[in-house]
Amino acid sequence: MFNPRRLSLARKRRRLNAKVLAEKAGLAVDTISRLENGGNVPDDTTITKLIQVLNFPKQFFFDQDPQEIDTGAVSFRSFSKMSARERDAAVSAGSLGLQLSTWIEERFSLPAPKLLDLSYETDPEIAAHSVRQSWSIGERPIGNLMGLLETKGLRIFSLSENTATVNAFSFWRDDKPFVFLNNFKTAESSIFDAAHELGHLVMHKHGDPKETRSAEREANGFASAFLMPAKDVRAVIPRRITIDTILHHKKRWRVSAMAMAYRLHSLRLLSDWQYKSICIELGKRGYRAGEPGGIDRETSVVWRKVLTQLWSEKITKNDIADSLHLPLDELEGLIWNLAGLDQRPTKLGGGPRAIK
Amino acid sequence: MEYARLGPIETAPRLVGDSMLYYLMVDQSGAAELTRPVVSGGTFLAAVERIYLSSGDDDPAVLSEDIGPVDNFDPQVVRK
Repeated sequence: MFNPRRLSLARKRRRLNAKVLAEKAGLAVDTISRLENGGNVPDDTTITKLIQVLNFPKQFFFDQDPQEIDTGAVSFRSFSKMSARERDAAVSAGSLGLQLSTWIEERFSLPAPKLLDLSYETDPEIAAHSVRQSWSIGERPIGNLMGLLETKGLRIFSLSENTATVNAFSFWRDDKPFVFLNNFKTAESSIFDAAHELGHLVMHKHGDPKETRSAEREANGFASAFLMPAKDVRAVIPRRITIDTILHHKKRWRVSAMAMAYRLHSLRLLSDWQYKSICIELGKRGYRAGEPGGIDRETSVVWRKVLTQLWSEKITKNDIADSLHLPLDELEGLIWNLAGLDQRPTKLGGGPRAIK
Repeated sequence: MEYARLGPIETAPRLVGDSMLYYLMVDQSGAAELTRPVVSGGTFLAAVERIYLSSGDDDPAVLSEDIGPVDNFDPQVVRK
């Protein structure tokens, strides 16, 4: 039976409003509205028109209700800068990510979540220290944050939104923490975003993490303290700090030059004047728009293992997409830049195969 | 190394109870030491004892492995 919620989901993923979808499909706007409200059931001709525009497999529209995400329970960065269309597209990607996650976890056992619930904690420094303590990593820098987070049970997906206004978002579902990262940004930014989302997941688990200034400040403070522990920074950073000091030492904590300058300022190792001067100079050298000479992007160990195992069984991403009734581009988007595998078979030889 | 100007102390070290008085000497490059000097007429004469704290070259931490990065993570993924 045609599922109206899936029509809404596909439309939002394609960043179309009802009016534009109607125009492209040669249908009336009212028709789209009635279909999405469940008031009408489309005939075959209408379905064909919708499929041509949305480019989703026909079977997608006849599956059970998608696992919808409560936007009130999702932590967004830069929420205020996002348009409703961008937000809907990102949340819809989250819904498809849940579908993919269910598919994976029916076939693989993944690490159980081991996150503290620090909803009571309002000091990001203490929260970051508590998480480090519970994970037994002391004050040492983290050489592979994504590997650490996956070991502790975070489910990490990619956001294929090539827009600066959607950085990342996270939420809890069935006691599992989900993080969606915008992998179009620099490697350093993605690492900071992941730590920021970890902050939301442990500090705002039960609250309404919709963007409020204090929640964002807490998550930023958490990320900064988690990635650059105060004691380690004080032990390593020399007394006289120049821009070259920052460019040299930022590699230790795998953060951007701007993020490191901010941390040094917040730890009072840089005066207001020094911080301002360094920010201006970093901007001139291109560190505001990007990260010249940056580090390599971190990749997901979990996704690499899962895809490698599936490929060894001759199950390709095409097969996964077919099984989920998703277009390949949507599946690719959810794991884009995550697996770190260059050689990706798109379709192996042989006939149809059962996917267990 | 330039030493901070001292007061009119005749000799050092001097006893403060059961403790010795050390001077923290810091030069412009950041080199630092604790010194028990002999001072006469406000002028440094000699050092009885010098404890070097830092050479002042701007990399104080020689990183050993135990404070290097942690990166050996291997999340377990098992096929059902």
